[in-house]
Amino acid sequence: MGDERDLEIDDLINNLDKEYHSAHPATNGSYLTIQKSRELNSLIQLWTHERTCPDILPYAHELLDTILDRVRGQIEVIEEYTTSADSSGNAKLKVLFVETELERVKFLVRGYLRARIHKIDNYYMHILNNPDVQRKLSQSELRYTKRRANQLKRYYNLRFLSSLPQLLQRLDDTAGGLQMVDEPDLDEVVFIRVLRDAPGEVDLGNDDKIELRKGNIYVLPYRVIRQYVDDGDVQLV
Amino acid sequence: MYGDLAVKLVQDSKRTLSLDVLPSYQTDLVNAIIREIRDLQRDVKILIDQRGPNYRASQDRRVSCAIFVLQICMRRNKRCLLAYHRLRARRLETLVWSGFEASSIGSEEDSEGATALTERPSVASGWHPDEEEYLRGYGDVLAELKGEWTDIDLTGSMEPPRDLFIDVRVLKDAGEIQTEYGLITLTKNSQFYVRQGDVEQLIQQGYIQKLR
Repeated sequence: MGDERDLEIDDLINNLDKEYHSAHPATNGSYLTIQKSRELNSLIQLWTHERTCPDILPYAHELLDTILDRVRGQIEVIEEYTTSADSSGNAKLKVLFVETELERVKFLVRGYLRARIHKIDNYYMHILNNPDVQRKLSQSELRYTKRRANQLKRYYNLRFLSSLPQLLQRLDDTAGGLQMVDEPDLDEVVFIRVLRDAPGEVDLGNDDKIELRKGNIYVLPYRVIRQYVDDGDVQLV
Repeated sequence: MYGDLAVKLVQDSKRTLSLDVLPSYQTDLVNAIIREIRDLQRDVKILIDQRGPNYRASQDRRVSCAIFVLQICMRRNKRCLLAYHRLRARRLETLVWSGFEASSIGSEEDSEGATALTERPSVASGWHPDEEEYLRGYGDVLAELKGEWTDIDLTGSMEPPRDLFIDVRVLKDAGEIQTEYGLITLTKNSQFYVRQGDVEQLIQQGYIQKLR
């Protein structure tokens, strides 16, 4: 019984593929599939990176735009199917596939954005004081940061800040040797997997050095392997 | 002694961390700390004024030490105030993310389902009006951000989706919802097998519960 059902689903997927090719003869099918799964993998990696990295990573404009385009496309497909008179079992199943996939992609994008917003909320003052960090944010995120900061400042001011002596009214002073602004802790340790043998050794300080070998997993402070993450030599896990 | 009041505020913050509900705002305590800071500032001013315009910190060690201690106390108090308010602001933000709306403040008690929703934050007793305003303000900020991501539904579930359809039980009457498979009337205690995306909002608002 179980086997029979598996078989049926495989057939259906094959049929879907064939139908797709006959409907879009101009596109090179296999290329498209590879391309699509590569983007999905990039999205998964992006999501993992953002969630494990202590710092805010640059916003992935290109990938997100592509994925969002595709999401909109899939929503249209679903709407087309549901409004069309074709309500046979096959069509419904197809819509189910698309919808399930869509929910998964949406979950990843949501997780990615929420992880960023979480960091933005924590380090908003650091962001607002550093144009370099601001460049890592999307327009929408930057707008959110500024508007939230305004609300927060207003709340603080109303409650106590404006009643304090002038000298103490700032939200970002560093006097007295105390840094008031929360910053990402770059020394936080992260798990990494090495994708390519990195040239040279990583300097861990205290005369400690380590060689990154392909395929190995290391636990290191983010600061020392930051460059390798940016270059794509290692992957955060 | 200096800083005693601030310790109380920090203790209250600690307590808040372990509570599900945001406790009352400590208006008196906060005001007392503000007063203390101002008193300290006045003391500093008196000390400096006494020395006259030619005062230099390096000349009179005793006085500069006294001023230093006063300054540190003021800054410490400020830090405690900030920590307390930051914690409360973050809690309010969490509420907004979970679908809580400022407009429902005060109307929560009279809804008959209130007892069934014990895990929902019961609201507004003892909040400061400024906090309600922050809640509203942040609500607007978040609404705008959400508006830019309509396809994604930012406040949606953070659990990985396993099934498109889920079993749910209705905890309190929620009226009718329109799904692509027709109209569903959600009456209390009934159970349905529905598309998760269609009822996400209602789960967050506590109208219905997901069954495992």
